[in-house]
Amino acid sequence: MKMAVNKGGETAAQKVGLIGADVKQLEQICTDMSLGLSTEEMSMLQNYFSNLGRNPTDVEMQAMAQAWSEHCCYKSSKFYLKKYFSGLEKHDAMLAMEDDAGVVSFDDDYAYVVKMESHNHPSALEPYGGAATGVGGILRDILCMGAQPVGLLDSIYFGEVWNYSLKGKGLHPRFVLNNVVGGIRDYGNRVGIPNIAGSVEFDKCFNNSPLVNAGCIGIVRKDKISRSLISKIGDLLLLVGGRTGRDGIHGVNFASAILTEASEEKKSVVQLGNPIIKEPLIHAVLEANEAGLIDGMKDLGGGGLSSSVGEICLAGGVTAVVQLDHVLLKEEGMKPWEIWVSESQERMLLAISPENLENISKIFNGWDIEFSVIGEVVAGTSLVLMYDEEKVLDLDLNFLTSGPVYCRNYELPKKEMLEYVIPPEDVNLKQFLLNFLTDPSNCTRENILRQYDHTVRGDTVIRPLTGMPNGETHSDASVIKPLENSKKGLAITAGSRYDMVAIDPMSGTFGTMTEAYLNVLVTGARPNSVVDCLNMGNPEEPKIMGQLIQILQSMSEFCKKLELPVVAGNVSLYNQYSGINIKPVPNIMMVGVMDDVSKAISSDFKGPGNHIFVIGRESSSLGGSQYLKFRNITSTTLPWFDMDELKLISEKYVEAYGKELILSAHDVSSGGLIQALLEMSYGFNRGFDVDLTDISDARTFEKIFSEGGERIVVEVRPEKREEFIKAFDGVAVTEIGKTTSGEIRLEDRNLIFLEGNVMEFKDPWLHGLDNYI
Amino acid sequence: MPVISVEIKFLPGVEDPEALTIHKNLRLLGYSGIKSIKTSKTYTFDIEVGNSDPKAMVKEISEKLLANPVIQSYTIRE
Repeated sequence: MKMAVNKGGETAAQKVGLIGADVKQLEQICTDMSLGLSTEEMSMLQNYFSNLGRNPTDVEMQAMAQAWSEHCCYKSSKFYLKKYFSGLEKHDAMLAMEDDAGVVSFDDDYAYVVKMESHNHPSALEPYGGAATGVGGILRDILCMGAQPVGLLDSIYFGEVWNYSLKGKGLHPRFVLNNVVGGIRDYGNRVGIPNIAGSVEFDKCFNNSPLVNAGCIGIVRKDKISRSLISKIGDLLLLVGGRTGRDGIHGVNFASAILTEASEEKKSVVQLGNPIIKEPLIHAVLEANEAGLIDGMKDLGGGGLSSSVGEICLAGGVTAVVQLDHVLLKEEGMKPWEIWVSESQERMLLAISPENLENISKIFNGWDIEFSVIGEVVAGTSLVLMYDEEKVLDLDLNFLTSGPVYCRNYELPKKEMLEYVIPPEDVNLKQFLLNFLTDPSNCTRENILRQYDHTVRGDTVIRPLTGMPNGETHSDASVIKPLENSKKGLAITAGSRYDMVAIDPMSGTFGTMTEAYLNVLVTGARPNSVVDCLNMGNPEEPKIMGQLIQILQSMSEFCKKLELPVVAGNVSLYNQYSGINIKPVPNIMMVGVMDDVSKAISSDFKGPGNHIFVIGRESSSLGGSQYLKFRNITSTTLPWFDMDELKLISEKYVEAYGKELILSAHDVSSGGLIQALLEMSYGFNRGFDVDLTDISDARTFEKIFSEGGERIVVEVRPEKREEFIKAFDGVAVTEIGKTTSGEIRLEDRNLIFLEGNVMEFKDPWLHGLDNYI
Repeated sequence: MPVISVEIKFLPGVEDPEALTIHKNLRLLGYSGIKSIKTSKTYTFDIEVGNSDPKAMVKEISEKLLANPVIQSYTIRE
């Protein structure tokens, strides 16, 4: 198992002349070694080593730089994450914000494991590899808790795919779109885990800073949960899976920096995934975990061995001696620091008792997975790395892993009075809709979704596309049934109302949380955990820090009110390209638990002659809507979101689901009421005949396109009408019309605004992305 | 009629899953003694007479379209 490469007599590690260096020399060292640290941080390290009375080795400097990168130690966001999330109740969560992924109770015996992470920077440079390894990485996060992954999800954000006159050296958004989707498809489909949910968005601000947020959900027996910590002295550290190579060196340092045109030259940061190794790795790890052979487990993601060994030991209050020349390598001649910081894919770190080594070997050899024993857990506080007989790193683990904490300056946005200019309603609604529906922001995501396998493993109850085969519409949240002998299900969704967040981070985040909540709720599930993946610009700008703080504050308030725990998360900063920051994107993944999947409610109208109701009060404002965005009108305020009403609706709705009062349901969000009604129609080509008069006194276009409030459109069978109205006593419920066999008709105050049939609207909606993917 | 070919291969250190899988399966089939395998792709250009600098053109094509400089390198052969 050993592959020692000794270069006879030469020392493996070089000393770095930190002591006595002036500021300019420090900066030079930082640039030469691609450390990505600030001058202040270099000075902190200089002081530290001066006190030790020795210069650091190159291994030590690289390890410090990696551990102190924004990506690994969250130095800009840690303080505020703690401030806003540490006071939240855990509710059903068993592990919230503690290990690699969040663990939440599912039933008496089982728990589900969730996590979402960004892979933005790698995907900006090499979209295919970046997106694929994003999927690979998130699978390992779930796996290292001992859980069987059961579903993947992806929220992806692209630039102007339709723009042919983009200048600059950056990759064209269309190329990025096709390759990111390709990467997710090829990795996900080959590894055999269904892709069940997510979102796709297009905006100018993502032109050179695409976002790829990958999420995963898994299921584990409560007594088999494996922690990302070790505390047993004498345990062996095993590195299993793929070999270590030069790919992905400095990935996290790079992810914590701003992209510029020169970034194209930074080649060593790109990793390519290998799902063909991942699949047996999942089996082998789960088998070893089932047999109770594993004491602790951690995946190797951004930060490589350096991060994983450091964090797993620190969490358990122990330390380790690691023999770097025992690591299996892809290529000869790698330097010790390269081995230590490499971010090669498909690797896992396991801690096991020495007496279990033989059994572990049998399992891993059986699955044809390579591994090597790389070190031993010892007592103490200093982490030691050896290369042959030479000590190449000896550092206090706490100093190495904890990293600095910054309270950066922040600035909250000023409130402006101007709301928005009410656009002249001089357009023919039908003509407008036919154009509106072909816009990439509003059309179907079918071209993308059809490339993913939604049903492998056979657990998927509600897929991302629902309705008649080959003519489906979008679902709100997907539902899976993770256990063979239980009817309980999980509803999963992910997305962001980033346009609203950009206008007002506080209420925009309420909007985002509300939408995620409604997406889960409409299926009949009770939302019970939140995972956040925050994508922001450069945190050194006070404006961006202000956005971050408001987003966290708003999430915290929402979660307190709706009794939800935030169980895992990820913050991706420095999403900036040549001075342009992205709009703030708090991408929220929400999971709910449903009692009986056979009662799950999907979003497609089921038949003609049923009643259509809108649950929830109308918030007559077009602020932040797709309608205004499409008409190029900027707004400065948002509609309101009422958390009290949401809570009330949620209680009544879950009861109504239990009594099977609702045939189909869809929340009102992007595109407003009309988009909701149309999307419900597409599933089985059923139309609607509705009258908006009773909804409110607002202008017709506001009623049609407003995206505020917490509203759900539902279809109810005539014989259940009275019972339905009774079930929602105390909540604003408006009956607006009936479903038809295909005709569409919409009127307000005796004026007809829309007449046609489903196919007239479905056709443009279906083909919006055809030219780009 | 000049014939120019371009070989596109992964940069050193970039994972080559296809080659790794072939290597692993050859071992299972009983072929021993293979140290490593690498994949590459070759494009052959049959160029019309009269083109003043075909090599420069192929170089441009390789950089612009065929090779992804982030993970691949190219070699031009005449």
